Amino acid sequence: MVECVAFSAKYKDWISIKKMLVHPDTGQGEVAFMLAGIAATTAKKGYQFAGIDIVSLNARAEKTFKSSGGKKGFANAITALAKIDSSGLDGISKSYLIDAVLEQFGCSARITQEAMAEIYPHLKITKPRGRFSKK
Amino acid sequence: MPDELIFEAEYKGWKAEKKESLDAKNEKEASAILFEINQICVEKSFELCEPDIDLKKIESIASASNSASRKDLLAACKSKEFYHLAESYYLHCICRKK
Repeated sequence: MVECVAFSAKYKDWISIKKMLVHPDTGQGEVAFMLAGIAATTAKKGYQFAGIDIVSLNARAEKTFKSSGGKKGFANAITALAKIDSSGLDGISKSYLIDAVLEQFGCSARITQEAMAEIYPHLKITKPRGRFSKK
Repeated sequence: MPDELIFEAEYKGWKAEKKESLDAKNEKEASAILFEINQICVEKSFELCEPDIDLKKIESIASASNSASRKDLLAACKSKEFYHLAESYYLHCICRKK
């Protein structure tokens, strides 16, 4: 089998296809970059399909950010993590809330394509295809 | 085209494969499969950064304390350009404990 990383999904009206072939000169960073892209897609859609209340969780995340001083950064994110009020939340909602709080602080608990592209400028983040309104 | 999820990866001896038909699955079941793939990708992407960041060292910092200094995390990086990856792995370890 040719070495590759491939993800394809079709569910209702959602379609996603991500594929890369691994060549002898493909670096580990490039494979990690691809996996980071798949991780971002699967998390976004996974939360969306989980039926959690994303609007109220985003509001909780914003409240946590503001009550922790409203300043971005790793040190502030760690302090805020300890203050997260996840009372009454199921596992998946709690997980979303943590991700949303970290995002408010400009942090992430997974490798992002943006972080990899900063290290390896030749890695380009693929923009979604299609036409978008100018709004 | 049927409703399905396919994830296949092979790289330097590492293999992962997940194929699931989603035809008879509801959104919560589809979500659970997506998170299985997500977990594989998140873990492996950190593992592939191992030459640049010392995962074991970061794990030990995370298990010892709920806060980490920039100096500690920089000591786990091959060079300072990889610092943000170290931050993310530290947060990943802390969040796993929660």
